[in-house]
Amino acid sequence: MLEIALILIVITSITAIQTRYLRQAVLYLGLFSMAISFVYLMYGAPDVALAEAIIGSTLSTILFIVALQKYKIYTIYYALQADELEENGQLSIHKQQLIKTLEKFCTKQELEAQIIYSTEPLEHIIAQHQYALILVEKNDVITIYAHPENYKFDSLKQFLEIEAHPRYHYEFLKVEEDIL
Amino acid sequence: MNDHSQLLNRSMGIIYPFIILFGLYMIANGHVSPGGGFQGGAVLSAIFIAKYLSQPIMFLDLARVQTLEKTALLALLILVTLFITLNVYQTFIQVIPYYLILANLLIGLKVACGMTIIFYRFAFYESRE
Amino acid sequence: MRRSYIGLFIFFIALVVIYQNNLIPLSVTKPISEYVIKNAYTETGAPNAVTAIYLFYRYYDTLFEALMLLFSIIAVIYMSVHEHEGDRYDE
Repeated sequence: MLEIALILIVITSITAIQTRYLRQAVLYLGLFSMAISFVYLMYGAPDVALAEAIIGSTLSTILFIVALQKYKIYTIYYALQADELEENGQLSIHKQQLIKTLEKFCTKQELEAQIIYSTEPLEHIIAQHQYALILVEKNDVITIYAHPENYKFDSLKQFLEIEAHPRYHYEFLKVEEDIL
Repeated sequence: MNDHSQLLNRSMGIIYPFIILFGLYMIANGHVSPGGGFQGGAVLSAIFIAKYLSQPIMFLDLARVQTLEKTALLALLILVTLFITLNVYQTFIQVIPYYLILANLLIGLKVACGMTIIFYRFAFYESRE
Repeated sequence: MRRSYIGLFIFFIALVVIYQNNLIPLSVTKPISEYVIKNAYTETGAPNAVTAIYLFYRYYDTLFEALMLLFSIIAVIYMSVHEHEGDRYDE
C-alpha cells in the first residue's frame, strides 16, 4: 500500500511539472497532496496528514482554480475588409508577422492572446464587444485603438517601438469613454 | 461559475452542518485525537468557501471578520501569558486540558477567520472589471 | 499615544519573559523526543502528544506562527485593494 502511494507521488509530481495545461497541473498537485498525506499517515503522523489533506488538497486547489478563473485574456480584434480574408482563410505574410509580434508581447506580459478577425465596422466593435485592442489597417499604417481601461497600453507602445515591423507604421489611439 | 446550479445548492445546504460539526469536533478533541486548532479552523473556513462555490455573492463584512481574528489572537496571547505566569499548572495539573481546549478554540477561530479573509479577498477584490 | 501603549505592552511582556526564564530551569535530557514521549501524558494530561508539544512545551512557536498568519493576511489585504474601493484598510 505504501509503495503504491510512493510511486503515485513520483508520477503525479512529474506529470504536474510536465503537463501543458495549468488546470491539469493543479489537479495533479491535488492528487499529489492526497498521496503524500496518505504516506504521512502510514508513517504514523496523523496530525501532519490531516493538515496536508486539508490545506494542500482542498484549500490550495480551490485557490489555484479561482486564480486560473481570473487569468486574463487579452482580446485583440483585427478589423479586416471583407475581401482581405483570402480564400482558404490564410492571411498575407506581413499580417501574420504582425500577429506574431503581438502574441510575443502577450506571452511576455503573461497574458493569453485571443485574436479575432472581424469584418464588422470599427464603431460596431467598440460598441458591441469586449476588447482590449482593435487593429485597423489602412495604407500601410496600422491604427491601434485601445480600450480606455487598458493598463498595458504604454508597455505595448514601448514594445512596438523596439520591435518595428518592416512594412507597417503604427499609430496609437486611446478610445475616449464618451464615444461609448 | 455564474450559473446557480440547483444540485450544488441543495447538496451544500445538507453538507453545512456536517462541516461545522466536523470542524468543532476536531478543535474540541485536539488534545485527545489527531487534529487541533489549525486543522479544525481550516475545516471551518471551508464553510464559506463552499458558500462561495454555490453562490458567488459577497455577504461578509471583511473588516469585521478581521477584527474578530485580531481579537482571537489577542485573547490567545493573553491566555498563554496568564497560563505561564500564574503557575497554576504546577499545583493543579487538571487545569491543563481545559487550557489546551481553550487555546485550540482560539487558534481555530483565528485560522478560520484568516482563511476566509484570504479566500474572499482573493475571489472578489482582485478582479478588475 | 497608541504607539506608546504598544511599547509599554511589549516592555511588560519582555519583563515577564525575563522573569520567567529564571523561574523554570532547563532540565531536559539530550534526545528531547524520548523525554516528550515518556513524560507528555503525565505532565500535561493530554493523550495527543502533538498538542502537548505545540501548546505546552513550545508555546512560543505557536504564538509566532499565529502572528505570521496575521501578517500574511495583512499582506493579502494590502495587495488586493483595487482602485474603486475606499480607504477603509489604509492606515
